[in-house]
Amino acid sequence: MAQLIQYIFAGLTMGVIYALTGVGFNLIYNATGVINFAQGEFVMLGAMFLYTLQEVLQWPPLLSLLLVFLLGGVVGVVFEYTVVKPLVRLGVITVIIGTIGASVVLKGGAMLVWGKNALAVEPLISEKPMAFLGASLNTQVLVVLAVTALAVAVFWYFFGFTILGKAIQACSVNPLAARLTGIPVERMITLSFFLSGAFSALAGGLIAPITLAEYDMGTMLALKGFCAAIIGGLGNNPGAMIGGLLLGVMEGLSAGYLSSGYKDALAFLVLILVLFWRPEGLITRGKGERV
Amino acid sequence: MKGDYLILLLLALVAFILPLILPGDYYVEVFLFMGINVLVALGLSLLMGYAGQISLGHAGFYGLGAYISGALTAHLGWPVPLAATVAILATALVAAAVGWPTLRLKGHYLAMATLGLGIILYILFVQLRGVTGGASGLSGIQPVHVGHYYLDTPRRYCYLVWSLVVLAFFFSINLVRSRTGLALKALHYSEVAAATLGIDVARYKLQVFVFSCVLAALGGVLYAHYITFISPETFGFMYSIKLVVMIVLGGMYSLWGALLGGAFLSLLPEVLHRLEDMEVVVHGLILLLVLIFLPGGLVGLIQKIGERIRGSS
Amino acid sequence: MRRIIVALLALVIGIVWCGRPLQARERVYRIGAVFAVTGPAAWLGDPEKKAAKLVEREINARGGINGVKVEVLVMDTQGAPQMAVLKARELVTKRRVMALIGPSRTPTSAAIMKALQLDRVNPRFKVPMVSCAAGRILTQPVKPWVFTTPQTNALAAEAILKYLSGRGIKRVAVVYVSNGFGEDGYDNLKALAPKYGVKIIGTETYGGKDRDMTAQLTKLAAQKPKAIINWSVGPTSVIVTKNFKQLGLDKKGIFLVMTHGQGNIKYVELCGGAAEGVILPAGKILVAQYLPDTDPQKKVLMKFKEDYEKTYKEPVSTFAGHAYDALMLVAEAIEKGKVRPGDGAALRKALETETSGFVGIDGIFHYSPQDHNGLSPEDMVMLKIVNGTFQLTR
Repeated sequence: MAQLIQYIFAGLTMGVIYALTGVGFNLIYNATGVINFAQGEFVMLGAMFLYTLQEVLQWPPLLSLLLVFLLGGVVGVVFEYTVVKPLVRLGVITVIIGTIGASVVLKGGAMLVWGKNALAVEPLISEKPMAFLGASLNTQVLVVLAVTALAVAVFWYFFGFTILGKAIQACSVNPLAARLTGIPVERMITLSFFLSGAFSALAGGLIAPITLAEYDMGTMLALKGFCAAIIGGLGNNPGAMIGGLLLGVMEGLSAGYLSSGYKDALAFLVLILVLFWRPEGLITRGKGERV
Repeated sequence: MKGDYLILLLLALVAFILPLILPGDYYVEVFLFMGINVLVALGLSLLMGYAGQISLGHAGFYGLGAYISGALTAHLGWPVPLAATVAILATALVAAAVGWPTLRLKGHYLAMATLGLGIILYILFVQLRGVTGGASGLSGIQPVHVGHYYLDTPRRYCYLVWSLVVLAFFFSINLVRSRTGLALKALHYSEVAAATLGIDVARYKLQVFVFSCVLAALGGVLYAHYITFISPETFGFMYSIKLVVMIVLGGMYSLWGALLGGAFLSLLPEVLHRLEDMEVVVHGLILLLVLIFLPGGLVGLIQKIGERIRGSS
Repeated sequence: MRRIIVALLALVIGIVWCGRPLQARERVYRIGAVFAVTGPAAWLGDPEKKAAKLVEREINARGGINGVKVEVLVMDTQGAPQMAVLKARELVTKRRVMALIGPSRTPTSAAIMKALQLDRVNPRFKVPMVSCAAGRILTQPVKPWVFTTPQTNALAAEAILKYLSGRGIKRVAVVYVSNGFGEDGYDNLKALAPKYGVKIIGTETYGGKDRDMTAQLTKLAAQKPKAIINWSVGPTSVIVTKNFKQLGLDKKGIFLVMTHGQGNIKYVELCGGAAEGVILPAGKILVAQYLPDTDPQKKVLMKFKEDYEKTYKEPVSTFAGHAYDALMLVAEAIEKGKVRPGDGAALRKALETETSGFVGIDGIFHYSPQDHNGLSPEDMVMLKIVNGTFQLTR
């Protein structure tokens, strides 16, 4: 029993990380229909920013996290203006390649600035793990879980019930119609890049105490975060959260009961099966497509 | 279209002469690896440029060819041509089996599914230690030879690689000109429209997918029997990405884009390595700048220059 | 059309001109170095490159070898086999180096070995390679042109098993990263365990990018081992250490044993307290200052440590030592064997016959035609992490 719970905890630890990255993907996807392969690098930058502010400059943790949030937002906006905007008219594949190029630049830049070694960041509350029925959970995981849930709730309210949020949604569904109804489409898209960058950076800052901060941590995060977003249905934030947690728990269980060597293969196999049978995700209702 | 054959002839000529005049094995080897990259990129270019389908998992099929052929010669002592043939056929079978359900997906979903496939194959290369040698790599792969004549120097092997590249281009040009090619073009613009015209969309897509995987497997076979040692990291996600980048850089809507893009990305590190740690950043920046300022890729650039020259003279 | 042909011709001529071979009048010992300076193994390649550059400066400052300067050309493999082969080929054919040092990892080393046919008695280019990787494939059986400097996984496994069985610990579990280093370590443990009466009761693996190993550790702990041996390098070892502590396995009387892959004080710092009590085998560089003055390596170790830390303002690691030894061994062979510049074949011979007894960082080397690693279990010490520092333990 304790073992089972421990496997689930292990899964949750990874799961929240996937969930956070998945939500970051969604924020940009919802506004522009673009899949951003540099999303993992946003998270990495967040972890690095926090390292500099909290560990090097010794600023208080909460202030540091707030600054990480804002800095991440700036990164998101700069990213939009330098990478996405010039490319978006050239089609989906070109934008994908462009975001890959940007991820290479960000990764290389981070290597120059922060070096090649992994860096440690202090957790927000305490080093002490929490015990539960003979199993133990890193306290930071609870913090991350709480923040993720809160963020998903806020985004759900924001996109579903506020004028601003609905305006952003409208931009992705039909930019032309949105513009005709007087929505400042450009500004809305910039806002979503700010939100996505800021949120991902915050995510990076939060997970750094669990995973360490490292210049090349982004790729794997992006891959798994992408999985989480797809399992939950692209564009669906609560879906991405559940998808990420599901993915993590599945990995934890397969590491425990099947084979730790094949757990990643299993995760991607499930992803492919989901794509075959329910490409709209496990959580969303299906919808038609314009051609 | 006639122009394509002319370029091909020119390419064959260059590929024949270059290994003779390049000074030293090093440049020949750069040219050799360039050939392998171009071969794999060509397949992907057919899939992306003509059928409009993205694949982020081609490194997996590249590895599949390398590992099957390598393992058959290393463990069972099969002769290389037989092992290579089996490897390519087996990869084609796998590609057909997974391609059939996968290619029904579109856009991001297809990208994601192929990405997953590539990663699963990579994990198999690492985990099936008895066959693949695991992460430590597979050694004991036989080099290519005809009787006692071993193709084990860069120059000799280079001719093998580039003859296959030229052959692959010949096939691809014919494919593009055939009914299949025209159908593919229609597909690229609108799958639904193509389907209403009576084009069997699924079949054509699958054919191109399998063909592109065959070229990838061929590239893998060539790689494996040249170095005679393979390890999984060569066939990872990053190589899949590199391939896609080659095609977009070269120009997606022309077969020659694969040639230019493959050549460009193979030569770039030779120019950049003096930058040491800065190399990665500059590499990414060049990619971004080409994307933004040369939307047609290198092929587009050359066409533009050609038009300007024609216009002025 | 004609223009295109002219342009192509110009391009070809340009390439040929740029690549014309260097003049063969060698007045310098040119040595090529291939390290994973960037990419996922950069934490290995970076200190290696720094150490090689340090040694180069030092040798030249004292007037070179036999009055001839040394030139070390460093190339980046990015940790990728294909890139490593290209760079090695460039160094050998274009830069005309007489020896290669590096690369950092086993797959890249093996790829170069195969491509340059260094495993044959008579390769086309007579250039010995002194690798900084430890995989068995490189030295077992002996490859004529390949030498290695790090303590092999076999030595580390032997040191660990000897230590454990000496304390009566017979039930152990193994967790390792699924890369060449981890697999090789596990294979060695499995092969050597019976010799020391140790039983491996469970094995788990994880990927190099995994960031939570509690599942693997829980599964192993359920089988009640007395010690868990973790075989990995880089950040994963930090995560394993933290997870081990988080699960409270140390309180259940289980030892956590790491390997020489953690031969770096940064590992302890990153663990932030969780590394207390961890046991690991390592080269002596980490505890140089605690060694008795009678230790034959002490002087060499202290000098290298001080020079490195003064020059680069970062703590020395065992990885830097691998590159130091590789280059110094080459220099030693050149000097003792009176090898002329550019003569790789004579250098290979001298490495085999003239360097025995060389006192390096990784140990005292005894290269011979039968042994191209040349180290013995005495070159490793068992360390315990106490108060955030490495302490000798027996």
